[in-house]
Amino acid sequence: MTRERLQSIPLEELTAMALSAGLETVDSADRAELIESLLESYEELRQEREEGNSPSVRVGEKKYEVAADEELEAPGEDPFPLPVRYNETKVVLMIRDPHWAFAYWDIEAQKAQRVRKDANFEQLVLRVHDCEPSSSFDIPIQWEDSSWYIYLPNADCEYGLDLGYLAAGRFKLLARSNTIRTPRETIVDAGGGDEQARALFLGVQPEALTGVSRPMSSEAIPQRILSSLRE
Amino acid sequence: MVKGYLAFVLHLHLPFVRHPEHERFLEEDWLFEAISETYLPLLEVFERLEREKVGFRLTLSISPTLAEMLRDELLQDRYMRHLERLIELAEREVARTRRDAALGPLAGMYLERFRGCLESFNGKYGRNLLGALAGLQKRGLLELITSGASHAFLPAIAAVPETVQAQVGVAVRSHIRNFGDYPKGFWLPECGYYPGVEAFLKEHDLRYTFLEAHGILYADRPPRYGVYAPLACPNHVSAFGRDPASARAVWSSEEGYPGDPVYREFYRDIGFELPLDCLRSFLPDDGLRVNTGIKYYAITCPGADKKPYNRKAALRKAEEHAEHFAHARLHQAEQLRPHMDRPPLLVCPFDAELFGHWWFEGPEWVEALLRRLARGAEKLRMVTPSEYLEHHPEQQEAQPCFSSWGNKGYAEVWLESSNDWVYRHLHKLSERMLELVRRFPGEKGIRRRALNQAFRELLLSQSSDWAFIMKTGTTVPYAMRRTKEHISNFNRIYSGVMENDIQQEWLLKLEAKNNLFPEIDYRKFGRARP
Repeated sequence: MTRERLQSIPLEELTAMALSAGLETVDSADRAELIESLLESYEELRQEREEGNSPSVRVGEKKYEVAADEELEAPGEDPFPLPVRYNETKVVLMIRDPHWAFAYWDIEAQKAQRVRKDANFEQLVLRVHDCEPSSSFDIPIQWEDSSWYIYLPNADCEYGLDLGYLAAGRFKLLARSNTIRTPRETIVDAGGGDEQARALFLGVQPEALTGVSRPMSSEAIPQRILSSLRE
Repeated sequence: MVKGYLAFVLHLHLPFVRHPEHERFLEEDWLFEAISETYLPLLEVFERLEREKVGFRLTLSISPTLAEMLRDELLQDRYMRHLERLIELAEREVARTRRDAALGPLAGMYLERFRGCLESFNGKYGRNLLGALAGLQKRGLLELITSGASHAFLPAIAAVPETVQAQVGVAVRSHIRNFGDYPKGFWLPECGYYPGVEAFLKEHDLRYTFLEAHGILYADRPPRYGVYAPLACPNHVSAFGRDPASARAVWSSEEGYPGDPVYREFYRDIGFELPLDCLRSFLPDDGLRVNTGIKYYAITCPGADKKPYNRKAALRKAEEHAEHFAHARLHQAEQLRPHMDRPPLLVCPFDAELFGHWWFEGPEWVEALLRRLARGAEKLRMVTPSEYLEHHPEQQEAQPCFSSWGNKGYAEVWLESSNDWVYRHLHKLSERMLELVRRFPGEKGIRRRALNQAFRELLLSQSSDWAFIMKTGTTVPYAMRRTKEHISNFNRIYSGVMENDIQQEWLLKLEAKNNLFPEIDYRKFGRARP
């Protein structure tokens, strides 16, 4: 956002922008002051955003920077509206990191209608299967949901997902996902050997993992696990 | 006695941005800035070293979308116009700053640089930068390898394996056409590796790729030599791990070289600082402020007023930093050598656009480093991965671990709340592409052209750049638009082919606009080798 751009915006809109940016001096400020505070707060936002990224991401970003007004979406109709869904019954699981996966799903309209009419219908759920050891847990979902980030307790472990619903205490399957194997987060170290060599070869810290904290324990993860509703 | 090897790898990439439908299009500047600030300066470095008989070996990965843009005549013409506008602006700057002892010479420096770009691009290279790179490969100085056809983050599209296979196959064919030779290795976009992706590399005799360090360290067996020797995947494609110490020397926000106070400041561009009247001739018609590449200030110590840039001091610093880097690498190799049955290999991969665009003195640092390494070659020898593999054909076998070089090391940069919505569509497109190939295995004429264009649109929608931009927050509307545009183009062709109702005029326009990969053949989607 540049100064000129802000100068071309009516005071009323500037005030609204200042309010949404959380500026406190909005009431008393005159136009010029308002513009300066907005510029400052946008700069702070930019810096904050940058600090959240690793240095390589920050530099990579510079490849795509040409102008300063580009954050603004041009108003008007979306020239390329996408289908919200493809009307099929499926669920896909994607790896994000050793403990989180992303799932998206869809349920055919007709099938959804049948399920809703099922007199015993209780709850739509994602049933997460942990393959080693074989166990599972359920995440209740709503009809309007279509994707979810799922906490997976174990790194280096196979997981699969069943999309289904609970009816009269029983799980009814709608679709089964692909299976994934969560990435490892540590060295598979058999131990032994020369201590110094082990430190030299295995003790290095990968650049991309700079500042990554150890994973949280599963108890700290806000996930609506409905173990009570298990079959 | 050789104490160690060093493999310096530069990855050159920009997404396909080409807008013939507009007279001037802002995002095309990504390419123009990279040519002026990175590609031409690096070419000059390589050629100067060659003339002076300074031996060096470098691996360059050139993404297919970048190669296709560099050979495109419309973009070449537009780059010339871009340079002409810049030269005019720099001439005005020379006049404006003629009484300014600090800024005047800097304005002169930029004018000279832009004129030099024009002369070498249009004159010396005849607009053919790919030819210049191929020549350097032929003369044994560079090893050119390829990357994903549209630079997709492969783990995120692996739900339909055929589409990963297509990213590799289309890339290899494009590389052969653009450089006249088979690529020996493959750059996984963003170092995005998942176990099994090597199967598609093997199909095309791609012998090696690069992983972020933990991809190697967290392999299913402990790597005997850490990242200092490659691993052989179960199918014998070699996986080279990035050396964290080399990476940190450049990237670390505290001690990384590019942050030195004498280097040029990236953010103080006259495009955002001068009154609009001084910039009129350069800015787009709507007076939008843009980067010009003319920046007069040094990074300067934090808190102080920015000092004018001192070119000489900056170049001296680049030499010092190159000396420091080379010294640190040799020291590292000497530490490792006694514990290994072969000299350790330090793999140093970087985004090429770092050098020159962000770190203005980067190309000079590379030059100083290559000279320094040439002088000490009896101790630390530059190699390409394929040379290394020839010297040391036996590798430890292990299955590397899912990894990337993005923030936090896995998939989070490309799979988070800002960009996760795209994958529902990308996966669907790949399934539809498979369906199209199965139902229409031997189309001709306009239907074949439609299916080929669908294949191009599918690939374009998958560029990792769009998801990256959505996450980092620069030019988000453009990235959103491009993603949606390609998805919607694909879907329109899909319905057209299915319903036997192809909109010919629209299709021809689209072909002329998204004109990359001329040899693309939809029938190869889902097939192993051609």
